[in-house]
Amino acid sequence: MMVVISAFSVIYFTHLNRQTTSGLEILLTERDELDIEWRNLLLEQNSLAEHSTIESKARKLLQMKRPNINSEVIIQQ
Amino acid sequence: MSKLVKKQIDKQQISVAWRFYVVVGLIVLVYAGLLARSAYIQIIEPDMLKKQGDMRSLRTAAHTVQRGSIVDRNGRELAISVPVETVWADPKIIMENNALAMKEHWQALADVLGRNVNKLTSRIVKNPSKRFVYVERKVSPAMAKYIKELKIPGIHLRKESKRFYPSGEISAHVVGFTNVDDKGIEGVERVYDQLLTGTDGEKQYRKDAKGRKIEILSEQASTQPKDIVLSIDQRIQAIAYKELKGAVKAFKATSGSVVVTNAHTGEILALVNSPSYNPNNRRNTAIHRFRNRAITDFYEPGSTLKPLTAITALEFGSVKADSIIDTSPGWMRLGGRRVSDPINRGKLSITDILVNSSNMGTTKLALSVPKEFLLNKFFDAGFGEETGVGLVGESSGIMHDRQRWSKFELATLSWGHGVAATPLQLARFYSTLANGGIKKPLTIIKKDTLDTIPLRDVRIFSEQSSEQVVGMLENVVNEHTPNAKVEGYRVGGKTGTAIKAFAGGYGNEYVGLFAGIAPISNPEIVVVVVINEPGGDLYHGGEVAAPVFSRVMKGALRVLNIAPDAKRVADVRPVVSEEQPTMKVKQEQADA
Repeated sequence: MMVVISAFSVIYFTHLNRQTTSGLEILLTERDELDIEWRNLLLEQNSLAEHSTIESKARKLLQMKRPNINSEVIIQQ
Repeated sequence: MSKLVKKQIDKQQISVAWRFYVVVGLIVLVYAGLLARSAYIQIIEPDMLKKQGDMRSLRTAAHTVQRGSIVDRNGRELAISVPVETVWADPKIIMENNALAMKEHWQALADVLGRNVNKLTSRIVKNPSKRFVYVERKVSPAMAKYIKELKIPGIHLRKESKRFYPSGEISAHVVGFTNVDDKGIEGVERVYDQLLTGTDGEKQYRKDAKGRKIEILSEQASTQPKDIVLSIDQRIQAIAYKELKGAVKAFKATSGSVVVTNAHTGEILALVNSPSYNPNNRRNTAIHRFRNRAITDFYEPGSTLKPLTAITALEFGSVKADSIIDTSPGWMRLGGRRVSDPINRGKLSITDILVNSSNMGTTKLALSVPKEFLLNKFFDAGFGEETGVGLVGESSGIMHDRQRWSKFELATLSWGHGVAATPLQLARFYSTLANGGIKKPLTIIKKDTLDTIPLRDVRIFSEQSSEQVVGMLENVVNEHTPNAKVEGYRVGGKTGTAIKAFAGGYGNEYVGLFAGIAPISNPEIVVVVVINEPGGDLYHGGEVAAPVFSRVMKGALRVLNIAPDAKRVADVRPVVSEEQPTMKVKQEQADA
């Protein structure tokens, strides 16, 4: 009787183990895919947020300008 | 009758027993056969079946590691590897499956790749027995997914890695680039190639009928590459590149370099050269564009070296900061050669010597100290030695280490001729001045990420004389070089104009230089600008290099949020409450 219980529990836990392993592997693959996506998004961000692009956009589209020294006020504690 | 029956029964019994034994025998034989077979499989030859099983369920997956990133001091990526897919075709499989009949699919494939469908298929028809033909290398993930969905037999995808340089030509010389095999061959990519390269891992696993991984048998862990954090500040780098490119174009110069350093740490904040190149597409780029001129090319630094002569005289004690030197009659003879100023400037203080860039004055200063002392100070200041930045191809300039120096040669040395330095070496000397006389090795790697380098700081000038000379440099800018001024800040610096030497003498080409320090009240930043061979009417360092210096310095001071020191600070502390402003400032600090 004990032998039968032991045999079936071995079967059950092996099954459980295999299911968990496959679940882990699926998550790892997902991680790799997300990493690839992240790298591509980084590239996109970098090309969109290039300093000179931002500066020319700020000047042309938003009519922004650098403050000159007279409009700067320095506060010291 | 009964006799006959009995005989029949006898016969029956005999025949029954015979059949029984045959059946039993057969059954025994079958079991024996099974036993023998299973024994054979289990004991004598189990390997074959194991192999067959493994073939159906055992798989090995390679885990490729991307090359490490190179980022600037604020974490902005300057070089990044992205996995991409390469499309390849197996013509043999395509022909076997008659896949070319799927006209619409091929049209779709050609469309997504932006190719002519006939050209695409003709390459496959031409080599029907080949097993591998590239269709398109390094396509984007979205494209790769689409191609996968087309499911054309014999069209496969393969993972490859592509290196991108988001900052393009701005940081091309510092970052360098890799070759097709992902090996660094220029710049930081080459110097730190080993750190940037990881090793691929491998995983052996068992899969079930549905292809799920159910058991990991062995795993060889991959080693992740390290990311390199540079001392470069991409924002300053972008400003410097923009200004330099504009100046090189406007003055029709052949090339130019700008170096920005942090005076206290020896970190290089920006290092740009013009002309530059696009590291993402290096086709048809002239070789000379790849050269990192700020470290490989050396120029005679000209008058930018006069502060070194001045500080040497101050250090030796032959003059004091307020000494007056008589330079009249404006010329003198040294061993048959003539040293002269454009006009007779008469009696000059050391500050005046630097302001007017008087050759007579520096000559007198140089000759007032022993020869060995002067030469040693030049060597100490880092001329003739590498700056410690460790980049490939760094030149250590020319500084002769010889016994015999004529007085005239010493005099030329005092105004920066007869010695050649790279822009980086010049930046190092000015950094030393700005750092109160303590010389530090320059570095391209952000300091707090690199604690392995031992401290190699050397005091070469006293704090007092360094401060005196820095103060004199401020006067030079205020009185002589208005182009170099930065609104709101106290700035010091020195122009330099050198005639370019070639084999056998000096020609008609000039080099315009400017090296400067700001803010004077607590020096933080050193900027060195070199404009090589300006082709227009303007060639003087004060005209071509100083404006670039001013704009780069202004940008750098703003970016680094260094408080203006020239302007009177407004005292706007409200009278109503003492608590509130403090809170607010603290809040701002926390936000920053």
